[in-house]
Amino acid sequence: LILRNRQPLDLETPVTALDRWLTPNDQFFVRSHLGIPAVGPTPWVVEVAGQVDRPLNLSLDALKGFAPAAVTAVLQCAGNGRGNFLPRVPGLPWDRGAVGQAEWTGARLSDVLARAGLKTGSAHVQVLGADGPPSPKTPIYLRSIPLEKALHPDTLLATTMNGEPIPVFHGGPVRLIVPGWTGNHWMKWVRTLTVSAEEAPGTYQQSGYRMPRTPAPPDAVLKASDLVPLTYMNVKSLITWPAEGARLTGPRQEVRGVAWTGEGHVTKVEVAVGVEREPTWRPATLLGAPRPWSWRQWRFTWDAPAPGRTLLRARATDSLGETQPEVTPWNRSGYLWNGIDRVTIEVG
Amino acid sequence: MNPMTNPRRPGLRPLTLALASVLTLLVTGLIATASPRDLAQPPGNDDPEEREFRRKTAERSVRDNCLICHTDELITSQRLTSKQWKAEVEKMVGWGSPLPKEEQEPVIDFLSSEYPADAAPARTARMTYAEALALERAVPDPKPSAGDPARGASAYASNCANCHGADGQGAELGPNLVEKPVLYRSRDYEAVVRQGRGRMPAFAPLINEAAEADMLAWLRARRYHPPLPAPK
Repeated sequence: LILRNRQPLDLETPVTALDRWLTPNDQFFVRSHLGIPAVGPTPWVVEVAGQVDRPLNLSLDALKGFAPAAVTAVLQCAGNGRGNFLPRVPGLPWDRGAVGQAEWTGARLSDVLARAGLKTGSAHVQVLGADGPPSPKTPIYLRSIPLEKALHPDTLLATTMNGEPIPVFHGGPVRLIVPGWTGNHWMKWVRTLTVSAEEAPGTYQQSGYRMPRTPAPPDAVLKASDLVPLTYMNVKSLITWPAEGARLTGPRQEVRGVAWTGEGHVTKVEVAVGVEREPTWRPATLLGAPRPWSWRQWRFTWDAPAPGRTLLRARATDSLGETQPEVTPWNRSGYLWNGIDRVTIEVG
Repeated sequence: MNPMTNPRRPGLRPLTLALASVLTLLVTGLIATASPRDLAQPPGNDDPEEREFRRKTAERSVRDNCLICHTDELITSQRLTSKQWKAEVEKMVGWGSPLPKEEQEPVIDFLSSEYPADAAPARTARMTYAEALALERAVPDPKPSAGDPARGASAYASNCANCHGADGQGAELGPNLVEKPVLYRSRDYEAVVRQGRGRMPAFAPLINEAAEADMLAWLRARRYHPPLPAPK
């Protein structure tokens, strides 16, 4: 794994490890806002409070008592690819690997909220994890999701990841799964759910994880009303094989990758071989069938490559008609980079 | 053998350097004041030794005030303009960094020149999942703390609360300890308490093993339960 920061721990997945359907837990990227809490010494309890008829304190066993639900979903950090933005922006300079796909199982958040009983006027679910800030002046990592997304049957309070209890690095024992939405919503180490009429107050909901409604240059002065919260991911593809800088031999070459989007599904992946400014885009073969919230693996074969260094490019299009751009419009926090993926290789 | 790298004299080098730097500053300062010609320009800005001294001082400010809460990769991986560095430093001070006001400008200058927007991206290290686990994970202690939390409360109040806050959730100089993995890694906990860490002094002469265990029992019983920010 690529070490981005030791403490709080941030690790990036090398993209060749994403060359498969599910990303193994020990290869999955790790992002921690405020540091990893101690998990295990005391029994875990998830508290459901706020605008509910029956506040709940749920043990892990109680969570397992709800109807089991499973979803295979892509988890991507909102800042994946931040290192590509120019002018440069502050924040972890993730390259390509702050993304992965896992199968998550647990209780539907909607079932948990139904047991608690929502009062009229409820509109958001505020979520807090066990990761306390280093200083009382540091904002707490409190986030909320609107009730509509909270009640979606695929929004889970997950307790397993790829068939094992969610590892502590990945937010275990309980993580919120918000399929299609950026990773900042996928709260780790979930402790408290507060049903409210309001979005979460505080820095991480009210000013963090927001983007201008329309792209704005670096010197633009933006009002709060010009910014909207991130929700769905945008369409994106990754070349997971060959690796950057790989040396290839043989007459027939295969390029492989994955492609995903937030809302809808991937309808097309195209690959270009060569360094031309306006390359010829040719369709890749999409494997399997589209599945909600999952990435689509793809494959592209080409013959008799000319010797020397060359460039591979991939771009995906989704069912909303969005296609990856050459370069993602700049934003000051470096969110949602989805520029055409590029890998330089050597044909021998 | 180079005396500066003589392993039999550990710890001497930084001290000698620091003293030498202080002397250099005093001397250059005196010369600058004594020479009327130098009044026309900022004192010592172009002097390499002075520059090096300023660099070292700023580096120490960063170490003492930023690395309390996070490691240095978070800094060294950034490529920012001085305007962006200023905004980051001010944000961090707002978030609880104890960086004194008078050290902010030198730190911003230092960061802007060491990690400027136009520099090549930082090289990254690799770490396996197993190595990360060994570094971070809270493994439940095989032997539960034998300490007495009630006695620990008063030992904590007299020894730790000043920096780590009365409730253990952090204050000016000491970070939050509540529900942190270090409380479940006995050897790390003991090492920090006895030997100190960063700006934290060694408590070995002041705290015996019983008090150490009592404080641990008290700290382990704390829970992170923050007051929620007021709605807008």
